[in-house]
Amino acid sequence: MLAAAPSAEGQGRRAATPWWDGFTIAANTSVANAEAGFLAMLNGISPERIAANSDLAVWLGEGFVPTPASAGVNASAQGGAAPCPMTPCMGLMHTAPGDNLAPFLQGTASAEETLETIEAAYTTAARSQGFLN
Amino acid sequence: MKHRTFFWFILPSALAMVLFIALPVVSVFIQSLHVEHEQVLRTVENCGPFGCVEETVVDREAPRELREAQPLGRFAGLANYTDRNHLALAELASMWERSDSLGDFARRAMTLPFWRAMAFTLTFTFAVTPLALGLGLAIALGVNSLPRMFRGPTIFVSLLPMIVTPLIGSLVLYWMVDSRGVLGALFETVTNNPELSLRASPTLTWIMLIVYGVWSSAPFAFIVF
Repeated sequence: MLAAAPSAEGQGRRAATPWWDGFTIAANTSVANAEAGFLAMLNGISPERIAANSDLAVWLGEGFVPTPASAGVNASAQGGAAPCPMTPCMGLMHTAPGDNLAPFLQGTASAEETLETIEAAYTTAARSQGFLN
Repeated sequence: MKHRTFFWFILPSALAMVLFIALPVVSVFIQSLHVEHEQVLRTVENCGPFGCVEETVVDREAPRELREAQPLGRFAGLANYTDRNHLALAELASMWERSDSLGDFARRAMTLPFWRAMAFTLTFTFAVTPLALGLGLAIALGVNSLPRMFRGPTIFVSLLPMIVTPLIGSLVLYWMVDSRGVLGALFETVTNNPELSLRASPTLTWIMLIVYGVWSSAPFAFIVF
């Protein structure tokens, strides 16, 4: 049985950023297509469908019955965990530490140096994509 | 051959080279002098299962005119060459001022991607070339002194390392040096250290790559000798 992610000082949002799958309907499709798609999706997330597939994923809808493995994620989501932000800057923010943490983990670089390197790598990447000046 | 004949002979090949080699090089160089336009961010209300929050998103509509007027982007001169991902001149200068010894400066400079790659390339070149030539010469001398009957198969076996496609060779090597692979387990037993991992140590990985480079380039030297 997995537990929910903790929150700072026991209150506030949970310290996790889950990824959720959803569906969208294109704005420039025909009305008939949009209606058909919307009805199909509504059928897909009906409470009976969710209850029947509760062990395949964590659902944000009625009828979801959490399994021991997914109880933690469900509790985090109910506790207000924010969805992972999807701006391009976040992608750059993930690559910068990923590329530069190895020396710190192996002990060849100090924490301050590693943070400086990560910050410099992120700044260069963001500047080259136009997010910083 | 008359110049006109030569010209007509060479025209198709020259045309292809200009179109697929020369023009792209010029185009890439011009593009390298530019940086993307600034991204415009705007706040948007995003309503999800947990209520409505304000989020920042990238606005693609606002700079559309600017992007169409100047598709290359903002002119940046040589900034792309001297920024941190490339020559990193400013970062090198600040590292030089802050480090107390040459070793310290070298350690700091290795965090820069270009200079780390340059260091590996130079080490690889100056290690593999003499070693591969030496090994090729040794194989050639060895084959020279073999009786005629064994020469054919020996030459065949000696040429095999070069015939292995580099992609396949490097994948096989990657799996072999895994701690559950043949070479990884061998090194763990020989050094009596069950936690030895070739991939976790940059030095050992460099040595492994140099050995692989020597092994796959020696046949070429052998053939030449």
